[in-house]
Amino acid sequence: MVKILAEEKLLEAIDWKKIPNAQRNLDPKFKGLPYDPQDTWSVPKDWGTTGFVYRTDLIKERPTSWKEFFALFKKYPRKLTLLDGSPEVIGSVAVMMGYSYNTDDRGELDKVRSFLLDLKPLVHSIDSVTYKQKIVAGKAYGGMAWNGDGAFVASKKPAEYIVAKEGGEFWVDAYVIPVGAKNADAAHAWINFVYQPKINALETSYTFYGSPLKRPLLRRALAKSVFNNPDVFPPANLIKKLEANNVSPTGTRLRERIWTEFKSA
Amino acid sequence: MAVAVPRVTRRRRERAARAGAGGPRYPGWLALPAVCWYLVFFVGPLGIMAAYSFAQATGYTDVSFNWNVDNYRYLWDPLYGKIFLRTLELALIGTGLTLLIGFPFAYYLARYARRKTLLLLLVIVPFWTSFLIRTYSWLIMLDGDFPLFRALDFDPEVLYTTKAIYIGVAYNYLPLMVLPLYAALERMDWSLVEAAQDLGDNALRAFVRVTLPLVLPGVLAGSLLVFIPLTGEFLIPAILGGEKIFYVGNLIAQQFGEARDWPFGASIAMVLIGSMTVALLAYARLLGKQEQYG
Repeated sequence: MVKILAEEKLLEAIDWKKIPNAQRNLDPKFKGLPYDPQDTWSVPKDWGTTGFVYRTDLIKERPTSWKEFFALFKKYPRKLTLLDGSPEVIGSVAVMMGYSYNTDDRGELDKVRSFLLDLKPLVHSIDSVTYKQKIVAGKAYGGMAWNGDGAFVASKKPAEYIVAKEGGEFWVDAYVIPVGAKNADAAHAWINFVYQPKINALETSYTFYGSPLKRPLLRRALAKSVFNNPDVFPPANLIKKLEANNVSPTGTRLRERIWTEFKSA
Repeated sequence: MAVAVPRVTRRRRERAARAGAGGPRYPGWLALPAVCWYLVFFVGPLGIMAAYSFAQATGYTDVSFNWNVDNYRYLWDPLYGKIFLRTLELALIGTGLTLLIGFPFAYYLARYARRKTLLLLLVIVPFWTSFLIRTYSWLIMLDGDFPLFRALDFDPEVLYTTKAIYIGVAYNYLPLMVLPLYAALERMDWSLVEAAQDLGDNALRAFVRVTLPLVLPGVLAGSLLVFIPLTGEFLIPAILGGEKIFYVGNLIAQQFGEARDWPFGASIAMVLIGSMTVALLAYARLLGKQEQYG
């Protein structure tokens, strides 16, 4: 999105001199990300993963991989939800099959397609907005989820959020300033404000999405239960397996047709 | 002789058409505000959409207008045909359901009800609440945990199925059917029915031979009001169908939203509008034949 907005000339450049806190506190891991290699247009806000969440009191199994998660659909028919997004659903199945999250290979996508069509009758609902409430209420026993929503469910009911062993999606939310912004100084001041470790810790403790600040700073600012929570901060060896969403235009059309077929099956 | 008769008939018919079917004549400029409105807010956007349907999505928001029919060719696919047929099924069943529920009610309302205003108000009251909230509330009412079902120890198990969609459709579209039906039945001269029965028709026969032909324009108007928006319905399937059952409306919404393929979305919408136009023309024909009654 940042890349697209920048290409469409809809963003003001970030003036890093005006945000000393970000300069000082941003974890180098989050510098020069593929969508903004020179850090010209954006400052990372938070980051997270796409995995799955399940109710440990309603599901006996302890799945740790996409393979085990999707196997649950047969055992608990129409009790598990999927996110309402073709990148997440198609990408995660592709990862389970050993392909890239962003594959645009026709043969690989065709295998994903048949897998999804078989899965369809077993799906509770396709939902990215209210699925967490459905799982908390026990209407669904679990589902594909973003880590913040997974942590939300786990904070209300016995449940666990899992980043699948095979990998999956890794995403970063970013601050940008729209072109022609009347008060770009205030925008910079805001970014600078939230880049104080204590302020940033407040946000992380509320959303359960990872903070892009340097780890030592977070250790001091965050409660242990958040800092050591692998749902919020997955271990480094797992992060290595994750990919950012970056599907080519050809891939998008192939995937949209599969997605339509999946939804209308 | 044999040649002269049709000529006279045709001339008379032409004269009748010019005079607006014998009604009073109004100056044409009275239509100007409406015509402008339709040009700016209907014909204009429709033209833009038609242009988009022959374009090609080249980037995230970029479209190149290279006037090709690739979008229509891409739409020529059994997958999309299936979705169109399913949409037709939804619109037909939805219209049938609302007619089945709405007609007896409108009949009672027009012929027997004492507190007409109150009952009519009750039909309209749901419009005061957002369509979205009313549809979401069915999520609670159709759930197995709804107090009524709990008391009966019975889970209807309809949520996120086609049945839930039909319930939502019948509920949401009922007023659109009842109001024109009521308007037509209210104008009924019930003494005609009584006369038919006095002359030997039983109640059913009188209904079929007298009431039905007289209220048919209302039935058609109500059916149209329900049928046409139903072909584009996408919120009820999204909410009560759990996004699992796909109709043309959902397909168009997906292309304009998530897939960001406006040209393809526009071509689907054009095909939908085209088929609607054909259906409307058929309706106009049917109504034209009915006009002699009422």
